[in-house]
Order: sequence, then C-alpha cells, then structure tokens
Amino acid sequence: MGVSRRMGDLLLGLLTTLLRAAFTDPKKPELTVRQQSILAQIPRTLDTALKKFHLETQITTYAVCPSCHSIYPPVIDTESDNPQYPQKCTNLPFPDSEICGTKLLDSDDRSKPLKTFVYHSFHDFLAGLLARPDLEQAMDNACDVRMTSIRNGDVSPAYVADIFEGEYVSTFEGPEPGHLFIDRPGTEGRYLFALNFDFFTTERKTIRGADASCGIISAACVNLPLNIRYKPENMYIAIVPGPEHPSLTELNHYVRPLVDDMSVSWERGVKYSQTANYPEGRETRSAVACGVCDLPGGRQFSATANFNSHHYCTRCHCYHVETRGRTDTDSPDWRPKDPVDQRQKAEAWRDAPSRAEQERLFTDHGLRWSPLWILPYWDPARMLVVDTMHCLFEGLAQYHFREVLKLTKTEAEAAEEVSAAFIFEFSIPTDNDIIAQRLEASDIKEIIKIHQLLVAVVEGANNAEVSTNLQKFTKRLEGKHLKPLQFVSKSLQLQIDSVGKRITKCQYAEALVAWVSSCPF
Amino acid sequence: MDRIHEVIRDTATPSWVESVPRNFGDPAAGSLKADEWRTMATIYLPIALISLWGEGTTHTSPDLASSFRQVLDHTMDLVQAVYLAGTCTTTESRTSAYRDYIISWLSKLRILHPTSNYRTNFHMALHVADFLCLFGPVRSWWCFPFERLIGQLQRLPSNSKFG
Repeated sequence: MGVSRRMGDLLLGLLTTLLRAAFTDPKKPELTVRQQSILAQIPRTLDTALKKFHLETQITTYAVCPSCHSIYPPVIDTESDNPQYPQKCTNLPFPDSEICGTKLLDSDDRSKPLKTFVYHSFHDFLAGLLARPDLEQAMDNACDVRMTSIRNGDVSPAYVADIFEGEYVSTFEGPEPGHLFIDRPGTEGRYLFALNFDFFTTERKTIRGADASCGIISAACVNLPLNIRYKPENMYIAIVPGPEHPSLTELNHYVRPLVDDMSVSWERGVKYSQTANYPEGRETRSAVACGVCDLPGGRQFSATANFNSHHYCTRCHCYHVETRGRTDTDSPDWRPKDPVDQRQKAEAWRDAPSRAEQERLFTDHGLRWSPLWILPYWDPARMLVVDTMHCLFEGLAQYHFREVLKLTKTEAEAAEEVSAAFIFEFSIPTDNDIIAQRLEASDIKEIIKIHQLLVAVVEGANNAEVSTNLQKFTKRLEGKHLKPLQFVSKSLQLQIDSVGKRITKCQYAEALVAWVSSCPF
Repeated sequence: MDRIHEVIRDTATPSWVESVPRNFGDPAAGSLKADEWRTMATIYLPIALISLWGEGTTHTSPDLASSFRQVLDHTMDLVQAVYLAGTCTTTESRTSAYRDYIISWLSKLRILHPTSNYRTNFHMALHVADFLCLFGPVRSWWCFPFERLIGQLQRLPSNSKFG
C-alpha cells in the first residue's frame, strides 16, 4: 500500500471507530461481548500489527561516529531491553594515529546515538524472497536450467540473452573446488546477486545544487527473471547516512556488515527453518556476481584509485593518464589484473604500520583495503563491471555530440561562420570617415559583418533556389543599421536612385545585392 | 540544428521508444538523461546527420563534402557501438564488432578533432566488450534499475529534515 507508519496507525484507528459506529445500536448502547472482543483484537498501532503477523524486518541500528564513520553494534541490555552503545569512538582512522575519541551519544539522551546506520539483515532479506513460492521456484529454476544445458555440452551459447548464459556464471566455481557455483547439491539454494553502490541527493536536484546526499548500497538477485528482478520489493537496500560523503576507506565501515553476511553465506551456508517450497527448511548459499556502479561510486566501493589518477583502470594494467587513448588491445598491458596479486597488495595496505607507508603503497599499486576482499572470490577485474549506461550513453555519446560535434543551440548560434565565395578588398572606414559620418564602434563592427555577408556563398541547385536565397540575403542586409549600409554602398560607389527625399535601408540592400550579382566571380 | 529538430518532430517512433526533448540542444531542454542520449544517438542523430552530410548531399566544395563525410563516418562508428552495446542478446561476433567500432572511433578522434581530450570513459568503453563476454547483454548489469530505485527513494515524501 505504501503508507507511512503514522498513516497506518491512523487507518487502524479509523477502522476501530468505524466498526464501533457500525456495531452501535441506537436502542441498545451497550456492545455485546462478541463485538467488544472484535474491537479489542484490532491492533492500536502498525507496529503491533506487524509483530502479530511476524512481519517485522530484522534490522540492526548501529551507532556511527560522526567524524570517522566507524560503526558500533548495539549491545542489548538484558535488564532494560534497551540497546546500549559505547560512549566514545575507539577507532584508529590510520594505523599510527590517535584514537578518534569523538562522542557517539546525544548529551541529553544517553541512550540515543548522534548518528545511526540502519542495517537490514541480508539473510532476512533473502528469507523474504524465499517466502514467496513463485520467486523461490524461479530462483532455483535459473540454476537448474543453466546447469542442464552445460551438462548437455552447451557451455557457451551463440545467443546470450541473460547473465546466466554468460561466461562468468558458467566458469564461476562454488565453495567446493571443481564444482560450479550454480551446480547446487541436493536441495541447497544457490543465489547470485548484483551489488550496486551510488550516492544520491535526498532532496532531488535543485538549481541551488545538491547539499545533502546519501549513499545507497542495493542488491538485486540475478537468479530472478528480468521482468521481476528489479522490482523495488525484490531488491535489497541499505542507506549510508549523509549528509556528507564518507571519504575514501570510510565507506568500508558501512560495507562491512553486508560483506560479513555474504561471507557467512558463502563459507557455512545459511539454513532457513522454513521456506515457501521447503516446509522442512533448506540450506542456501549466496554470492556476489558483479558490482554495478558508475565510475566514481565503483572506485570508492572497491577502494581503488580514482578514475582520474594514473591507475585509471580496474581491469587491466594500463597505467598513466596520458595513455587513456591507447587502442592497442593486443598489448600485454591489456590483460586483466590478477586477483591473487591484487589481494596481496590490498592486504599489504591494510597491514601497513603507518599512514605514510599506506600512502606510498597506494601510489604504487592504486588500491586500498576494502572489506570486499573478505569474500574469497572477489575479483574486481572481472566482477566490477563498467556501467554501460554511464560510460556509453551518458559518457561517450554525450561527449561526442555535445563536445566534439558541438550540437547545442548556443554553439549553433555562435558558430555562424560564413564561408567566403570570393575575396574582395573592401575599404575599411578611416578615422576621417568615422568622424564625418559619426560612426560608432558597433557600426564599424556591422560594416565588417556586411563585408563578410557580401562575399558569402549564395547556395542553390537551380535558379529558383538561388533567387529565394537571394531574397533571404536581402532581408539579412536590411536587418543591419542605416549608417553602415550607407558607408558600404558609398565605398563601393553604388548609384542609388532616391525615390523620396531619403534613401531607405531596403534600397541600399537591393543595390548591394545587385552589386553581388554583377560581380564576375 | 534545425534539421535535427525537424527529424525529432517528424520521425514516427514505436511507442516503446522514449521521447526526447523537442528543443534538443537548447539550454532550456536541460541535460539529457542516459536513455535519451541512447535514443538520440541511435535514432534521431544518425537520420539528421546522414541527410545533412551523407551520400547525395550538396556542399559548396568537394573538400568540405569529404571532411563532412569523414566526420559522419567517425560519428557512425560510435552510433554502431552504442547500438551493438544495447542489444538484448549478445553473440561473439557482435561483441568483437563492438570492440572494433570503439577502437576505430577512438583512434580517429584525435585526428579529426585535434582539440579533444582523452577521458577514462573511452578506455573503460573498450572494456565493456570484455564484460559483454563475461556477463552477456548489458541489461542484466547496467545501472538503470538501480538509478530508478534511487529515483523512487527521492520521490518518497519527507519532512525535509536530515537524519
């Protein structure tokens, strides 16, 4: 229905009132016992209703350090049942720095953290998907269909219509070496997810520019068919609180809980006591198939160097910004980066004793530690995809048509360069002319424009077209001011018969066009 | 520009093709969204530019005609690449054709337009071909659905208070 909690409470209240009004008999003001019990059963708030049907989501509210973004899980106090958080941040932002020490809690209300990060348990989200028989069926089916075709020898189909038919899924080994991930043993469920990370402005884009922005970590299960995969109710969401972006590795704190859940799911598997199609419960394992982000988001998500740095590519060994235009794809520099080597470099960064050392390693290798390395299969060269939407449509196409071909209105109006059909030495107004005819700076500019127009190409395939173009041409000349027209006509010594006392702009223009037509060129 | 506007106005498109602003290029039209760029690049602009610069058009000098023709061919490399990247199914030949078009576009860029700068996106566009091999058609791994989700979150009513 998409109503907020407050609105839900109101609806429940209204329902109770309506029922009470319907039950009330004007002759008998007292309600019967049965009616009273019905009214008593209607929950007062939405929270109670959700609890009754076991529909609450399993969320963990972490306290976030406002300055260094490290997160602290709540400790549930057994006596009061209230979550307790530490008083101060104990994180070391850098290996050799002091403890952060920022206050985490509200000074008035000691149990309330200043900033929170609400983490929706990934296992709970998956349970939600598996609670629907159609989704569970479709998710298992995707694995089975692909596995059957691989067993039948169809390893790389000619037409690839979805991610499951791609090379990655057909080569991605599961936790048991030698077995594909999608080759599910027995009733175990095997699910692949596409992860996305991006920043967005919460208040939508305004002319004043974005002030507050949040990060979002979302995931979609690629086992699902395309038409339902990206429905909002089938997607996992975690919001990274704003209003400022966490910088560099500070984002890692927010990624950590999700990665921990994914890691458990990979190594041990998660057993659900009951799913829609398996009332006795079943084992499941989930894995990240790919990270889908735009360039800046992807680089921060995977804690690799910025896309404008010398380490501009996460996939290959091409190095230095000056080489971004190279097209020699056969060169060894284009081979994908080795995940084992990358993991060692990331771990070296994590274990470096000082900040200076970390910076040195980063300059050399272009990567920092990211919790994604906890996943044994993480391989940014293969899994961190280049987003086509940002790269091709918004990137290359926009760049080509706007910047290279300059297809914009301002450019079209500015670049009205007239190509010359012939060269003619016009006389330019001298100082004497300027004083005598009281010409202003704008008039002189117009004189030069008229000169350009006069030598311009008059296009046209046949006589009729030429004459219409000449008419347009005359109109353009008429649009100029009188004084410049007068000057040009005089300097060309054109004879104009004056009909009345004064010669009009129209006459000047016609005389000039006649002069152009009579030119031998 | 006028020709482009004419093409946008007069082209009959199937209903599943999203419309683009009729005043394309005007500052009032705002910046185009990714999908609008795709439509522009694969439908309207090729029609407009071919009819302006392609076979059978007249120009004042043969030099001008041939330079327009080169720019057009170069543009069509990109158009082909964008089209191939957006297909619903991928094959090995399409992927390698995509790679060839991007390489051809990139290598001619500095020759035809000496003032242009190389960007990281150009390099990454070449890698799109690798990911086409690995993951199949782009619609299962592009950002559109995630961006749409963000759009839905942005439209949620809020009290304009942060946190």
